[in-house]
Amino acid sequence: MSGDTRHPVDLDTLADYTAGVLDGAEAARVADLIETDTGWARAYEALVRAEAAVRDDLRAAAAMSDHMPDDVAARIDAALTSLPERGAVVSLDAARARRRRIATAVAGVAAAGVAVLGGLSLANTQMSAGMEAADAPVLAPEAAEPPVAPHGESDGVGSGDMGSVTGDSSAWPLVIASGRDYTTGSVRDLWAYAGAAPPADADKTSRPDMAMGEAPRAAAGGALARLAAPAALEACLAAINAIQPGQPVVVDFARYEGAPALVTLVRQTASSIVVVVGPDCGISDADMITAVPA
Amino acid sequence: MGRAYAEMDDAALLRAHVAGNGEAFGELVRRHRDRMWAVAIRTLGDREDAADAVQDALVSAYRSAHRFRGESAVTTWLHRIVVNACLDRARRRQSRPTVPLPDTDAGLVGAADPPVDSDTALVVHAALSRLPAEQRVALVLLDMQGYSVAEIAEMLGVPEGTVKSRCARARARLAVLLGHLRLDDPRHTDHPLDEGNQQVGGDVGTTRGAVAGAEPGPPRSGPPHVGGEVGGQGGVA
Repeated sequence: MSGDTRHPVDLDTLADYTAGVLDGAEAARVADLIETDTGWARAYEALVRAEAAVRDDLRAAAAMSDHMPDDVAARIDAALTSLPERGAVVSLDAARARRRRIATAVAGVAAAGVAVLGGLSLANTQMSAGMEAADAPVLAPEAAEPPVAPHGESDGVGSGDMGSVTGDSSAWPLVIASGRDYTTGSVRDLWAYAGAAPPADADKTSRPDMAMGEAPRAAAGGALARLAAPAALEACLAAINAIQPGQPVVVDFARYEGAPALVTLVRQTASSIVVVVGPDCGISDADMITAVPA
Repeated sequence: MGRAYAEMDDAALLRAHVAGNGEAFGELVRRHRDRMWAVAIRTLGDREDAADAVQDALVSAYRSAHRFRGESAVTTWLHRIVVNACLDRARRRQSRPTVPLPDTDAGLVGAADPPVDSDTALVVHAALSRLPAEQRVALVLLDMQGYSVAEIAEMLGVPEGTVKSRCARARARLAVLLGHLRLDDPRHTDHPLDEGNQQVGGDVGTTRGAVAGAEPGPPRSGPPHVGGEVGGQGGVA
């Protein structure tokens, strides 16, 4: 070491040098700086000492108890218990039939005005985080489509047939765009929408007496706009079904913890679950954010 | 049957689960949940986030167990899923940063043995929460959970050199946050860990012992250099 501080010390580079991960030329350059530059030399010595102290602190912190809290363990056990057993047999024919029916339903939704999700039309409803369930714009199938019966018993998700649905109208999910910002604790509120079956005709799905706020419009028409396309929503529902087999009851174009999300209530064999997915749902997987027993 | 499960190794439990034995996965979870929880709470620093991440990960593992090929240990596979769930959640929350502190409910404090300075643990966890998520995860796995660099590289799907780089940089940042290292340049003392403040014009010294109190270096021109992490096996990029 012979010179004064001439070059500003780059802490990341110095850390990489101490870790031995720099390539030959860069390592040689840093070694030369440590040899010739007072600032780098002192910084290097200080960092080596400090790293040892940090390791000691981390070891001390790691020695603290880290048992999973009982309530968290119970919650996770409950979530896992709600899943179908791995050995259950999937009926491919039934799954294909379900896929066809979803496609038809989604096409109907689009025809009835789901294009609002791209900011084009549909129900204009003023909403806020504290809105009532019934205020959400309902993006329902067109008149020819059967009405939703979310609380119907014939969900067709029987044991041993995770992907099947029956042929009745209860197969159609209610599609809404509440724009609501859900949290883990509030996703179960989706049941409130499930209780409000959409009207059987397209006219009633429109809510011209209300004006959609900017927040829900942005939630639905922004990051989630891709999912407004029937094929994309179909693919998304199929991806959700692949990880959480069951009957989608309500699909809400909304937010989860501030981020755009599709919040879907899925009725399963003996329980229900809310599956929250991101804007990339259906591209390669469900883009799942979380799943909460409902 | 419960006793039989308890005597099975992890791989056998996973095979039993795939075959449809309902209790096998639960036994696997019970066996490893504390370590998975430790990774999640130390990585995310928030109880609810950690619980959500572990739940997401275990649901995913439950569903994808049939794709496990036995090329790594089951626990490594499980931790990889947990780590990725934590990273996903951390990235989602980056736009809304918090500096959560673990409390007694978070499962981090209150161990009767060994005697540990709980204040140190609280400070360390608060400092960890200020690191970039990728660095934080790597450091937690290496220095707190005791995984090898090779295991962490497999979990994160990155070269070993990248793991070493992330850990070294994380320790350097923690050293500043924990007071073991001081950035003397007054231009950078307000938020020494912010991106762009890693290149210091003056000396870096310790606050414990000899402090290098050198004069500030020449004013910088252009944007501050925050070098990209180093990758490559064995650190020779």
